[in-house]
Amino acid sequence: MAAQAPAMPAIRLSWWIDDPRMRRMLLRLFGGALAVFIGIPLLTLVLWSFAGEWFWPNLIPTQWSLRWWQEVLENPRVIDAMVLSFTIAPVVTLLTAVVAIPAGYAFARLDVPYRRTLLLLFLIPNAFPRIGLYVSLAVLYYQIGLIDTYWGVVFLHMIGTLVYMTWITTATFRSIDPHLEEAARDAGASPLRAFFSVVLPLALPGIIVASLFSFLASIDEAQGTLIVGTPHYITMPVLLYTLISSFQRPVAAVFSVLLALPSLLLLVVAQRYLHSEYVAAGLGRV
Amino acid sequence: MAVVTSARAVPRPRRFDRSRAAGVLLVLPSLVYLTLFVFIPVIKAFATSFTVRDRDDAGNYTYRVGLDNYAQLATSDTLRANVIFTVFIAVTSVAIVFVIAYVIALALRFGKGPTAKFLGRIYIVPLFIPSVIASYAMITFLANHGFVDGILQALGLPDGAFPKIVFDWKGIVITQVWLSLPFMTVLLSSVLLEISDSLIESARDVGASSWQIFRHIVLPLSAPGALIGVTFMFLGVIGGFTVPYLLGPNAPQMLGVSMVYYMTNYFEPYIASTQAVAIFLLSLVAAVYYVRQQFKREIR
Repeated sequence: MAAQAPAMPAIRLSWWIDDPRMRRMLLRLFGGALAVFIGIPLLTLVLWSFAGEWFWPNLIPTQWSLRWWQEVLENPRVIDAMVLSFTIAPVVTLLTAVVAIPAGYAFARLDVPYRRTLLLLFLIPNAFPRIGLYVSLAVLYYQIGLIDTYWGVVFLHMIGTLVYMTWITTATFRSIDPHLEEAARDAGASPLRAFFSVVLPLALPGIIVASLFSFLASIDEAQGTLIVGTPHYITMPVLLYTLISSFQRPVAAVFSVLLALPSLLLLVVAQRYLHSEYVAAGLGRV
Repeated sequence: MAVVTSARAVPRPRRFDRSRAAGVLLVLPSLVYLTLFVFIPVIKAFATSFTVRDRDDAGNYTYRVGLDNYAQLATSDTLRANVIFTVFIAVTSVAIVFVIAYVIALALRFGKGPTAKFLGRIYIVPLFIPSVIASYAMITFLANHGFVDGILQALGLPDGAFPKIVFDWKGIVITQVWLSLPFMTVLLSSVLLEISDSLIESARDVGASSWQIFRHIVLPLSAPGALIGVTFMFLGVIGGFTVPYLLGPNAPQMLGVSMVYYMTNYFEPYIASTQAVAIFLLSLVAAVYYVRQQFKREIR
């Protein structure tokens, strides 16, 4: 008679998940590690920008100084790059808005023929690895003379912003009750009037968010601009490539802090206003 | 682009009799733009990749159609190594980001304490840092004689024992993880939000452990949405330039870097185009999956 084997207590490797105290402690540890991983590299950069003298292995600079800031802000190349970046970004944002908002409205509200096919086409730019797209575009630019031109850079920046803004505005217009527009039309407003005085104000928050992200995406775009804009159209991030490669550590650090400021400003605003979906979609600029 | 919309079927206003014409008119400008600056370049890249440039003895160039560029891609040890390296980096970084982001997303979805709140505030930060700056921050942080090296030194690590991270594959992966964390976390969080509390509570009522709930409910239910994030990030890493350019080794190179060098330094648009096509093909499965899933979400 086979003796019934006593049931072995199963060793559970996951016991800690069910223990709230253990779980809390592990989560705290994880949170701490994440904060260090995300925060300290950025902090090092800020330290470097104010370092007068910092010999390794000191963990903080031995002397503080603003002279790198002065050097950067007085450098004509830096000023040129800033001016260029801030003249390209508004144009990109405006052009994108002009092209994308009507499309977003049409996709959300109108009976566009071949709607499904068109929506699919609008997803395709995201499905191509970006650098492949940029190199393909650069090959074309060489042939049609758009390489190293202002408009060449603007049109390249629009690849990312256009698709993003179309999706965001489509979602925004969809979320607005169509009856409001119909009521305006019933009251005798023309389609244009109904759009501009009823729909557009309601859609404005979504449009503003999308515009802000487009602006930032244009300011931060580096790889495509490097390919089609050199040597005459050097925007801020492209200049940063050069500064990093030339191993001028404090100078590059100052410039990094400077370049990160617009985005960080948005972060402060964003924490309160932004829907996480918008933020997620803004990551077209990975 | 992972726009998670709650697209209810909106009753179409019947009022617009000329709706179709207006729709075409409004979509047309963006369609023209996409055709000129996305579709035509891609088609041309395909065509260029089949163009072979020969140089005769007099130094004149002649052009013909052929597969020579692809043959070069397949037989050149350097180029082949680049392809393998690119895939390796993409798969590794996506896997690491996925695990970390999943933990954060779980904490955000099910945690209530101050730690969860804290996580929710910090994970988003890299989203707002341009990739050039992130790369540079990582260089100062991880380089030999960088910040981490300094700390380990203070803790008694002998000089020179710090591993080579920057200008190595590890540097690329770590920086990609840093940069992609917010995107993956936002996406996974929104996916986890779709899992109803009642489902989890009923599982708990019948005695399921947290692990069982995770393994048999949360993980399977979040898989389709999570895959969108995985494919999108895969596409992003494969098509990346900045991070491998600043933090990668000289050899092997990721395709993005090697492509740009062929384009701008060696003036070889034919090989560059061939690499672009190779990148498109490498990401084809991910791209098709991404477009299909995202399309379903948008249309719904």
